[in-house]
Amino acid sequence: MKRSVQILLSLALILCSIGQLTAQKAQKYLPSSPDLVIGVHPAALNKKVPLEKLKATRGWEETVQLISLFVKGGDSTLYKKMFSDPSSFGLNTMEGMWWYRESIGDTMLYRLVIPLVDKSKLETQLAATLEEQSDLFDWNSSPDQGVLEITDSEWILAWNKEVLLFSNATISINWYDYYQQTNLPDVAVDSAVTGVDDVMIVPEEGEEEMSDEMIVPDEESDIEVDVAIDSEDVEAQVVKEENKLGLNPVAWPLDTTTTYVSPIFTPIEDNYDGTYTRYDSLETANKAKALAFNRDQTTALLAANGYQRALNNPHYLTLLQQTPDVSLFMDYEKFYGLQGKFGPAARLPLGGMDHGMDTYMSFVSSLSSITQSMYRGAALTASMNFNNGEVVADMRIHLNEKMKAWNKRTYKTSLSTKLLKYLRGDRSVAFMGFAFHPENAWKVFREVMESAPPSSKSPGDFMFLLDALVDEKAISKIWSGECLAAITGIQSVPKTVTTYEYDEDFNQKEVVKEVIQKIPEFTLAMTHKDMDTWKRIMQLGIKYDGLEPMGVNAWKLKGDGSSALTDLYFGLTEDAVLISNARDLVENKRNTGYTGRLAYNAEQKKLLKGHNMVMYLNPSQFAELMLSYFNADGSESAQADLERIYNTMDYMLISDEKSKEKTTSSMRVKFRDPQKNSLLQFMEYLGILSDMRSKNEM
Amino acid sequence: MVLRSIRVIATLALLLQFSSCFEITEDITWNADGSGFIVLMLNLSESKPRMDDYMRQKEVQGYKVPKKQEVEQKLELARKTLASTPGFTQVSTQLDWKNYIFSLRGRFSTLASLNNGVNKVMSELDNGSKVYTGDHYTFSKSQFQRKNPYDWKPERYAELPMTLRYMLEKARLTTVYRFPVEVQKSSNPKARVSPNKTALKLTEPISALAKGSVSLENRVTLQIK
Repeated sequence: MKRSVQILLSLALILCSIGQLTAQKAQKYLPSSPDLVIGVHPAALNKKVPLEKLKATRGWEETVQLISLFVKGGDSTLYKKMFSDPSSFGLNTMEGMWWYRESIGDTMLYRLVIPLVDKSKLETQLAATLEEQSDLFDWNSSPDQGVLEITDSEWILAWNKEVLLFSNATISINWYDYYQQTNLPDVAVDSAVTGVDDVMIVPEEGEEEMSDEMIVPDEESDIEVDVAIDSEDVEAQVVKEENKLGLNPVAWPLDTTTTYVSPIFTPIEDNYDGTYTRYDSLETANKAKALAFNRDQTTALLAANGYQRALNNPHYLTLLQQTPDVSLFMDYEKFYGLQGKFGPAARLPLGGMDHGMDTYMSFVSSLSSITQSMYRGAALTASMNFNNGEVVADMRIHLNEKMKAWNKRTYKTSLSTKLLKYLRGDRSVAFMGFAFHPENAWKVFREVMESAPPSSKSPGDFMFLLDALVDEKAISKIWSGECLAAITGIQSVPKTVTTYEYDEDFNQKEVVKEVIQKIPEFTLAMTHKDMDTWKRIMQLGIKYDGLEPMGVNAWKLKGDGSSALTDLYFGLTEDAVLISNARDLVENKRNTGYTGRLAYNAEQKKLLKGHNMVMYLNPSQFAELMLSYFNADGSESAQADLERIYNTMDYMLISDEKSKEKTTSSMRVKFRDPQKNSLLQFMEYLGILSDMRSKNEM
Repeated sequence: MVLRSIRVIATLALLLQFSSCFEITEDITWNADGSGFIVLMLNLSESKPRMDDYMRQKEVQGYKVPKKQEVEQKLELARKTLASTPGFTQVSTQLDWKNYIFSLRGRFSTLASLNNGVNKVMSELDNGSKVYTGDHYTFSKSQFQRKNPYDWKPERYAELPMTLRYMLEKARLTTVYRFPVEVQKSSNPKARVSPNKTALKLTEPISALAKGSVSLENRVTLQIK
């Protein structure tokens, strides 16, 4: 997942360098109902940093390499040439390019839209570049459009006179879920084998009917696949099917004929009574089906010169009016809708892990419908700008009125800084804090659970039981809603070991010596309203031999120090409970907190103030911590790499603000050089990471 | 190749992935008749606190931490292989799980049996690989030579995972040779001769050996009357 995000981000970033054209033309190629759209707007960025400088970085090379891996097939020559000199390919997209994801039936479609101004240039370049790789690429073109297919890749490149599309479609099913579905007595095997009849979106009772833009069920939108399961027959079957794709409302003709070869497979020893073989066939068939679907959808879209009804979500249109370097739009309702889409109502795709858990799964499934209902009409918009010295990403979540009201009751306006004094600030590695109203949060939780659709009774039952056990007022006394957790540095803990050394005549002798073990130092600080209750809890800990006192209002977790990773201490003050492995904090600085140079400085406090959720990470301190943990901190090259990280990136900060009026998030990545463009520094940072992975100079 | 060799010598390849402060020792005592006693030792004791954690966790960074039984099986395989080599006797292993010190030791009758035994152990532990054929040690008149029969390539080292490379910079390999006569001269400038002049010790970082920037090779001239 992390790698996918990195690839997508990289893809978005590199496209910043490509050409010029009006955004409107490309906009026509965005469907009316994607769940995710990322737009890149290089015109603004180009004013901030010369693209030639970006291209000279190691990070740029890495990014092109990543794209090649992402698209797969062939070698990277085509993409390197295309992204290094897009205008020579007729690409001229300075005003914007878009990547989107859309779910159509059981198929997930991914597409990148790049404006094109010179079709013949593109085709001339493709011919020249691919001349020596004809076995890896297959392409053809007409005066109106062209398609390029890549051997062993699920991606195709297709173009008309307006745009170049990178397009991918996938139909996937998890093996374990498949096995479970096809081997449980209550599930029809035939349906699961074809894999095309089991995905239906049926509105819950009381829910709105799906609009005409929504997905047409498979019975109206299938390319039928004749899966060759007869083990005696290993001949290819050529299947011609009439294309009756359930497309979103577009105006192009839909009577094209699709031809492809269904899979040839050789029967293998099958330990699952044939299930493995059937699954293997299904997977191959799914790939063929997806590729055909992709080809037909894409060529039809290009023939129609875009969607008749393109994306016109008001939040998205508002976002378009801004001029960020990168923009993001996410349809929350659709996004969460996808979660409940992959199986019958009571079964989610959990890799077959839900054996014997039908009640639980029914409950989880109900939660999914609750979530979908909570986010009805909700969307996320975000803009990212690469300014000098920092990357700034501002996100806004557009919620429905019900969610806004819940947010207002649940979250406190902002995290206070009173807990900060308990955290050592001079060597902070990572930090997270949030503030909310526990009592209100519980009430909201209850309302949410009780809002489950009538057919899903489990959450209500669960809530009834839980409500009987939980006293929200008591909870809010022992935890009044604010919490800070931080990794505040690295502890050096001396440990005694027995080892061997050589005497002056080089004879081995046994010696006992002290070695230093390095472990992360962490602290959790929570606000409370009732010191007496906490004292009673600690007394219970002592009574049952779990804690030992360390003076007034300080305790240590009992345990064999030699076997535990670290000692753990508990401290109590008038307003806070502290849990930490920093003995000095709990024993000596509990009442005063850290002061002077050990405390958070004014600049750090300013960063952390005014949010109801905040996360902070210092990359160089984090890297140092990791190296220490793996005992690699004495390495010269590790130190050199650390220094390079330190000299490039300062910190990363993510913060949230939630209120009735708005829910916003902000991400800031601060670089060391305030004068230098942050994208350039980011590319250099990628180069450092790349060097760390392979040190050919060594 | 050096890493392969080291890992095979140590027989605890998987454990090495999880520990940086470790030392591999090749300790040979020679008798006047060409026989002798060899101890190969892997000492992870300086990483003991971390090793305790890793053994508890069973998996670190996606890598499976070997079980005690797996390590013991490897060492037993090495013992059996060495014991079956003609010329080897009194072959034994020592496993100190408290301090993470593991050794394989045995008495050899001739130089040929030593070379043969070392190669057989390495080959066996490397799934029957045929690459371990060269002589590690030779004697010619008054000259003893520690050879490096392997092709150590720095580019292979560069392909190792980043954290493993960092760790190997702190790991050491030590050779100690004790002779029945005094050492007159040693070609490797980093080798130290003991005050009584009968022992020679050389310690190098494993990363430097793997990159080929330093070598264990040494020609030692002995004072033979």
